[in-house]
Amino acid sequence: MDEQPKLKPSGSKLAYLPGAETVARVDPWWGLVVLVIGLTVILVTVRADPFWDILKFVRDGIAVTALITVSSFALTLVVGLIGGLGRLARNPFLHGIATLYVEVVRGIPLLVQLIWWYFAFPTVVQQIGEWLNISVIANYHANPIFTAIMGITVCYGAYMSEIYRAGIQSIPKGQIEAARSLGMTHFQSMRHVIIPQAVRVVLPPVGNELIALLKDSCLVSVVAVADLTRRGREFMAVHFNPIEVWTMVALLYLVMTLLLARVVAWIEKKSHFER
Amino acid sequence: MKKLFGYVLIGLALVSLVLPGCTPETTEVVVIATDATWPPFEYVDEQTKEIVGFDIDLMTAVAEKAGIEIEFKNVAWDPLLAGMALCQYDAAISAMTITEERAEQWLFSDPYFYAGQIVIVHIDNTEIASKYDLSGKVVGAQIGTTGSFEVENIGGATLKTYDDIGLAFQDLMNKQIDAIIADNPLALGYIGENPDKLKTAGDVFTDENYGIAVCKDNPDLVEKINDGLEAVKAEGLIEELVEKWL
Repeated sequence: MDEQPKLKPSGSKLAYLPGAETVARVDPWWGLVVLVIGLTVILVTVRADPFWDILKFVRDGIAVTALITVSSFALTLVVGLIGGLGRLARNPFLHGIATLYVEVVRGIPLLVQLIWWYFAFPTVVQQIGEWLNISVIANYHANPIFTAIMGITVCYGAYMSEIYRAGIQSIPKGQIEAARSLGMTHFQSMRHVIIPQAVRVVLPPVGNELIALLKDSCLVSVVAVADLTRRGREFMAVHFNPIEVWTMVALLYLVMTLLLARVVAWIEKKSHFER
Repeated sequence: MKKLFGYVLIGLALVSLVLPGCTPETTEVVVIATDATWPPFEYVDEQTKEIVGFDIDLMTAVAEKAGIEIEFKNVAWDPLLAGMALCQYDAAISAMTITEERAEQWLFSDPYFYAGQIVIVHIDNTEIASKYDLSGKVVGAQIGTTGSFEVENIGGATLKTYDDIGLAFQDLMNKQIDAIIADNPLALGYIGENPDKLKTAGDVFTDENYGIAVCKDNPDLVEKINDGLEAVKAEGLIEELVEKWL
């Protein structure tokens, strides 16, 4: 074996330049998360009445909010991918369907969509069932949590489609042309060249959507889903203490969104390679 | 220069935040909160978009007798309750039952109407005949109403709260909940409009009195309202309004 010295990647040399030290390993914004959690804990322990009572009362609401956020986000990723690929499809039918979906859904406020799915959709289904004389459909009843997840997924799926589409389109055409000229099929070049690059482009907006979705999930409280917001309102309606209730609810949302923001930042960092 | 302009703008914005707080009140308009989703006591008329109803007519007559100028403000029920506790409104008339918990937070006028809670079910429902059959059922009520407190007192019943009672009735007509507990006159109004879909189950099972809520810092206003209320009662207005609205 010859003793040729190994070439160091240029990146590691740069790391020793002044002002270009490796960034602190622990993300300093975790401090904010700790601060907000600390504030919540202080309120709950120092002023147990009413803060601990509020926390106990809204506990199941937090679980419902988390369940709705996680499940609709997971479904949104899938729906968005289908929608995004549809928007890019050369087949005019697929393209048309995907564009129609995005344009219609994006044009209706989420609150209106949720109310429609819960209060109007079941009646429509029941009437169709009666018309077809199928009792299973005629007796269709909406499950509030399921309806909420479906409503949010349909709405956020449209936004997500556009994010995926923009991500894939942001990769220069030369990339796919190069991949094709190396003998890859269209699918292979998508799988090995385009998508891996597009994922990095879309990660920040996708993470952003996750946090926006968590916050928008409070809208499901109008369709009688007992989420964090509704539990807060129920508590306030009995104890008449809006300041404490909404401070607590705001802090709880903040804890959840800040935690998610850190997770998103961590994933972004993990997937950040040199271009 | 640009920086200066920025500071001036921020300054102006701050001043504008403070200013409305110190405008002197020249005419004393009493702000009356109401949750106009509770027909026939208070609701928004389809044609005129005005708040109308039993309570609105009554309050207008009372104000006239008491010599106060009033202005109605349409607010949702749970913010109305919280707002009364914090004196954000001078008074509220909204088919509000006088309860001990509420009386600790604000003042009440003399009672002006007698009502009670009743169970409403879908017309196809044969299982539920009274509130004693509600165990294991999903029962709807408006958030923070005496109806919702009654549901909580029924062992085994699951309470579902709605922003306004209309949504609860919609859900019941879609058969997505088993029953509703609400005030008797309101329930009869909804059943009157949807006789093919709704019916009552059992009799009225609570005794409740409606009162006008008044902010606790304003005992004078309670007196004025009580005097006005007495005067209109003496004229037989309550009976007239019952005739007109119920």
